[in-house]
Amino acid sequence: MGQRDITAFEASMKRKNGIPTVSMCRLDVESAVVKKEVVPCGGDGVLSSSRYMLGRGVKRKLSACEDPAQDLPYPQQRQLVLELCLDKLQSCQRRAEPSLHRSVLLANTLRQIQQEMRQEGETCLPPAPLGPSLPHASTPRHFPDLPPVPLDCPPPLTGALSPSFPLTTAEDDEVLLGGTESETLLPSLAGEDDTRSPDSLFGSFEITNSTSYLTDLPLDDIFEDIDTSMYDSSDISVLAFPAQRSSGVDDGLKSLSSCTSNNSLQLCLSDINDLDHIMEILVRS
Amino acid sequence: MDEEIDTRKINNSFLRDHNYATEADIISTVEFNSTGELLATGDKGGRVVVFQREQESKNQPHRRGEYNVYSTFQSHEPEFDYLKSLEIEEKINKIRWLPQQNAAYFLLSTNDKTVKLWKISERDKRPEGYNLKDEEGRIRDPTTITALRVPVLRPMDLMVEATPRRIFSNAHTYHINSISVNSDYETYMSTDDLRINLWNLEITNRSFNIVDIKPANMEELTEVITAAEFHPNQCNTFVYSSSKGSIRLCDMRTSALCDNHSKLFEEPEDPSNRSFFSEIISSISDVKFSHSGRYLMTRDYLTVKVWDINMESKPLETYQVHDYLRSKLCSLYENDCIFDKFECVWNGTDSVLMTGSYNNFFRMFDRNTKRDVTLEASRENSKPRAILKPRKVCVGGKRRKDEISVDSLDFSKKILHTAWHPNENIIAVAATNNLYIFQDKVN
Repeated sequence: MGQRDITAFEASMKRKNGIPTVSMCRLDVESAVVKKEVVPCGGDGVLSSSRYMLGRGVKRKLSACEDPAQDLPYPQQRQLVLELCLDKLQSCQRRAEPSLHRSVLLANTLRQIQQEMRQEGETCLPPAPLGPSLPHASTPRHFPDLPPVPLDCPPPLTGALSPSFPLTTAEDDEVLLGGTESETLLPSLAGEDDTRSPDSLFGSFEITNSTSYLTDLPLDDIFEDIDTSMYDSSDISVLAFPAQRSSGVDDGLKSLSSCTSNNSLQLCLSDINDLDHIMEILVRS
Repeated sequence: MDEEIDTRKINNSFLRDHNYATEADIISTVEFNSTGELLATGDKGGRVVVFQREQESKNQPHRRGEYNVYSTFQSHEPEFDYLKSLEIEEKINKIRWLPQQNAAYFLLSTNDKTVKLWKISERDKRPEGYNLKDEEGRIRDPTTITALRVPVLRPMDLMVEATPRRIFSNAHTYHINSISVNSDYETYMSTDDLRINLWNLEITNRSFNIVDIKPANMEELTEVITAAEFHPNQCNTFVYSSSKGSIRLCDMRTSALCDNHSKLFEEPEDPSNRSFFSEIISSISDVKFSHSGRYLMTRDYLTVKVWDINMESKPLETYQVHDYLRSKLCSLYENDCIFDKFECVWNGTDSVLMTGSYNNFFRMFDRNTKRDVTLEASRENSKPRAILKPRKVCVGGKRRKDEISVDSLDFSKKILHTAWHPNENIIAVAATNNLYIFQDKVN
């Protein structure tokens, strides 16, 4: 059947004196605080130097209002949460006891992040050419022809619903399963794929709904063994446009390369079209 | 909190070798009956263990009513759903006692799919001296019977037996998270992620759907029901909580399907605390009416809130359970702790609230004095009849002696289930596979 075993994302449990503790997530604040008050943002180099906030941790809330002194830029924080979300949603479906409650919460978080990313893409103007040291935010999934999102664009946090999110989830799965070294977001084909798996996420929770074997399965699993290496955008990016990568990106944090021109994207799109064509043929047979 | 707590532990691992903890022993629900005489626990292995408080004896006045094991039975077995190829867990999600109407005790226990009504009865007499049967039960040869005698009831060792009297099944597509007995003592409701069903205790082949929040298109699903409870006095009123942090109060007299609420309790979000995880931590894990029926208590990930039934716009009181976790939400999200469902309980007079936390800590809040205390349920820190020492989590700066820092908390030791005796200050705390019973110290 071709079900690949995906290990769920697991936090490393540090053992201090034999007691499993909460590992320091990159977004969390070290509990030992020196000062209680929030240090005003003013380009304080000490606070922004280390990602892990060692030593002089200062308590700070994750707020919508941008604080440039935070160690991780907001889009990277968001990307981390997005990835965690997707990992968990995937592992959710593979569990023996899927929990609808959990899936709904994860899906809502995912939707909120994607909505935000989409709105950023809509509202922000194209930036001036950025230096190679700054990491680029990914191009929002559903708008492949938009320029990259600038970092200082304050993201509005809204909880608006996106009815097409399961579609996105399925494609995120596809991207993650590809396991390319440089994490890239392949532009989606919104229109054609709507009918692919209507109840992919929540439909599996109903007892007597499984009339069609194929519609219940996440379709991506069947095609895992298809070699998609020729569609790795790392290769494409080398060929078509200069890859902009942030320096000093942690191994754990997958970097995002950006598409800078419509031509390159057309190239990507046509390749994806071929892949989908193949998949459609296989499904119909 | 003025009162000290006298501790007395009952370890229910008598069922197994207590040197190692097996997953089936993890306690998943704790509940006192309406008089407090009985305490029931359900575990992940589908077993129910009932404790009974022993009568206070004049000989040993200092041993005030200890709880001893009264009955143990296997309530639910694992099942297999062949259509979905999924196993249905036997874990007991909730136990609710019925009010006592005769010598026997009745309780409802439920796993993800099936609710069962159990009768627990005592037998301490046995008929002896049958005319037609001999002592082993074999039929005697009729030609040898020359006299007539009537069996007599003779005392025997006490035997407590549990029998399933009703099985309420096939009514829930999703996982049952709550059951609640109505004050009319004739009906009860069972709640899953999307629907609430009303049952008559006598009828197992029919139930009425009273709430259904399933959308026509499952892709549009954004909210699930997390808990529900009947009003303690008004048999037509119930509440249910959602994963979005709202509570709805419904009146069954308005319509057959109570999709439209009578009241909606919701607090506007605090914009300064907004984060990626705001919605997840606002999901309500438990909702309980006060004994008076005047107030509601809800538990979300970081707080306990008390609502006045008559005020929907915001809670009356908000108590921080473990606010020091607010800056650790991403780690807790990574290791899944953010999805833990803590329960909360009222004391008998509705003046004190209790709920669990991590590191085997549990918290109590006195609504009148506004004081709160953190206590720990662990073997190392409490000996029988010792006074529980209040614990403190230090958030930053210097750590005083006896304080524990946030980074040293053990997140695998979580107290999700607690219970409070309906009349006295006796509490039961479930810490993974151990049950702790604490009593108030009386001089």
